[in-house]
Amino acid sequence: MNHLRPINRKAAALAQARLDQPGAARVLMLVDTPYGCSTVFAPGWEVDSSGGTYGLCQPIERDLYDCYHSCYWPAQVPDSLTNFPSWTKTCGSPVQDWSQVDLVFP
Amino acid sequence: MSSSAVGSTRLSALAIVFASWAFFAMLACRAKPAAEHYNAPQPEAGAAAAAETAPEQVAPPPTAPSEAPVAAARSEQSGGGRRGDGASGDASEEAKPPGKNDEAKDRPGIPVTDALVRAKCTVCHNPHEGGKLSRISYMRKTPEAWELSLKRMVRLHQLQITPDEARAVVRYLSDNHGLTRSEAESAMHEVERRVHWSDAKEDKELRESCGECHTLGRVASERRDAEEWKHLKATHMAFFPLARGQAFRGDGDGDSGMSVDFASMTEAEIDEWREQRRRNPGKDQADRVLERLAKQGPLFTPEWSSVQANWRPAPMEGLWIVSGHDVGRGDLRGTLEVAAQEGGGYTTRWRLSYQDGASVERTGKAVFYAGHSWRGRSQVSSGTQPAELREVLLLSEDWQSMRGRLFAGEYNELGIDVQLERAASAPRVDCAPNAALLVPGAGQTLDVLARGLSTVPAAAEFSLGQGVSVSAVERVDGERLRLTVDIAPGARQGTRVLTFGVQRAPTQVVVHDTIDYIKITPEKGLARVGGKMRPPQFERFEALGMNRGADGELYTADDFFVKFVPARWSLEEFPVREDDDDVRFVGAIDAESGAFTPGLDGPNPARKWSTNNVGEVYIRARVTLSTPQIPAPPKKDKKSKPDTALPTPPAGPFEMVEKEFTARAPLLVMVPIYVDWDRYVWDQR
Repeated sequence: MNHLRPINRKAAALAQARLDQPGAARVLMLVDTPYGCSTVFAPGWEVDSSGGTYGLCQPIERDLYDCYHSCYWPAQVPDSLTNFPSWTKTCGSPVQDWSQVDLVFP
Repeated sequence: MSSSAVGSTRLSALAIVFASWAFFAMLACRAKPAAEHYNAPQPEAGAAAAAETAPEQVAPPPTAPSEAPVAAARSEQSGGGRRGDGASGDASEEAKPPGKNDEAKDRPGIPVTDALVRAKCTVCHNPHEGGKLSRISYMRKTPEAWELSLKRMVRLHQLQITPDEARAVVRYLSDNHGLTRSEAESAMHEVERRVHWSDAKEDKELRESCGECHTLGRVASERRDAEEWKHLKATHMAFFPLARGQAFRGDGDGDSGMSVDFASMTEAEIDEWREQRRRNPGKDQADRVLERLAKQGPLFTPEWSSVQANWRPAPMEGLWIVSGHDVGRGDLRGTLEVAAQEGGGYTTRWRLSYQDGASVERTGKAVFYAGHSWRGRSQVSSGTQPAELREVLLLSEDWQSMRGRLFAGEYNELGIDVQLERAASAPRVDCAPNAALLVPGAGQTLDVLARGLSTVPAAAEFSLGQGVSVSAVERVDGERLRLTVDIAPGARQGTRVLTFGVQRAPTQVVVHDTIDYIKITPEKGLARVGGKMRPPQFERFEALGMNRGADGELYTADDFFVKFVPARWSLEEFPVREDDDDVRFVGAIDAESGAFTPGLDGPNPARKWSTNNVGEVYIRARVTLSTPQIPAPPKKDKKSKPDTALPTPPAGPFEMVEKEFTARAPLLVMVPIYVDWDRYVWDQR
């Protein structure tokens, strides 16, 4: 934080807030949803929120293993949690070796 | 694109994915050698999945005496493993502790009587009183849904089963724990693997809870009792925890904490509130949806009871008359010969002829499930049709006709819609493909396919309704007659049924005065890049000649389709941003046939950010036709009384002029899918 400087009033108020003092807001629940980049564009493996492809994470290979680890598109991408824990074994980097990515046949 | 288009596109696309509704079943990762996969014949995976992936190690169940009736029942051809009255249970299941059995004592369910199914399933599933098995006895499904369940049991629960056993189990469950005919009809689009299908008209909560990951056809493929519908959520939450926040809309309708004064509470009180909230989250969206499904898709229905009482094998052998449409190739006509196969199932021989004169003969095998559902596979060694076509057909209530889809393609995208009718012993007539007649017009010809007619019948035996007269009949060849047809001025436009004596031709002829515009089908094209990691999803387009309909206005609901017209095809940019360049990368369309081939998959270094070859483009069709020029109708006098009759339309005959028509349709080229849910080997069942 030492390198960040508030540039508007809200940021300045935040910087001065003493969150460790009694009466300050307490965190009740942390969101446990992993934010893969496709989350932003949900719903859409095939299309973005406008119905086109321009807003998608591109190329798809960049986002592929994130979807896999977060099980975000279980119908389109193998999930790491339950069904295909070793899916990524044959391909370390899908952006480089994308043609080596395996299809799975559930 | 409109928001409905978004839904339509996404869900249609998902139609080829088929996440398992019940279980999102996924089999042990069957690694695909990339080189083998590209353009290679479809691997015989699947299905039977269970089948192939299962080590061939398990001996048949020890209850040999109960196997006999099962085999006997299966040999009845249409019934498969139906009514297997095998003794329930074997030594191992009897040795199980009662466990929850007592709880299910009064729970209505379907007894599992097949010895093999009991032997395989009771390793995990508790026997319940009355021959029932936990979970299995309280649900009914399509063969496809049972197969996915079985595959999941192999993948995740160490079910050991041989391919033959897997097929037998799927047959037994599909027959005895299957859907009724009308239920199967509601799930037809799912098993027909239709790519162009939208669930947009369905209930919003249902679409969000289920359709965000898979098609709603999965839901339609199952019936369960209330408790089993509830279990569905638990299964999904266990397998895919993210579904809670994503599709199920999370935290329930219990106390959200908005009105709680946390500032005045101690940490312990807040913890307690949180714990209470966790224990009683209230109903979330999935709970509400499942409650509705329990009412709409119950285990037992009057129809199900009636089916049970009326059960008998439906005879499928014999000759069927086929009519259909192959997108991009036009209408087809032909026959299907069905013969019973020893040991169950059928052998088939398709003889199909296209409107361009090409003909093809395919041979294959099929299995008939649950008294109404036909699943087959046919092959051809050469020609322009796919080497292998899968068949999904539904028998009508009266056993006289079937309808469905024959399909192929990496994403099942190449399909032929077909209707079949039993060939009667009496002569049979049908209109030749793409039949359209002009009104008014004298001396027009209409080709008629006629089977079993040794003599040329009299013209008076044919009828096409009011204002249309058949003046002469001549024979073209052994199976084709040519009618001379006169249509009087003012005859009503639209589809007409050809009748011959007491027969009605299965396909219709269109009477029209002109073609007013053209339309492209499908209205929104869908394709997926491919060729390296996985073969592409192709798309095919056709141009439809349309008439303005009775209201005289173009592009209104009463416009009617006249016939398919030949077009020249090209791609255009669908601009969604500055310097949009999708059209350079997404692929190419064949100018003559309208067949679109997508670009290769993988990052493309030639594109900004190495974007895949995905994008949105327009498909443009250009058609040149010689059509009658209809003079503009006289304008209605606005001052006249409302009840004044419309001015009489011009009667014709009209001058033929050459016109240029054009139309365009959006095409979405999408990314591939890395899960192939749909590998079946039907004919091996």
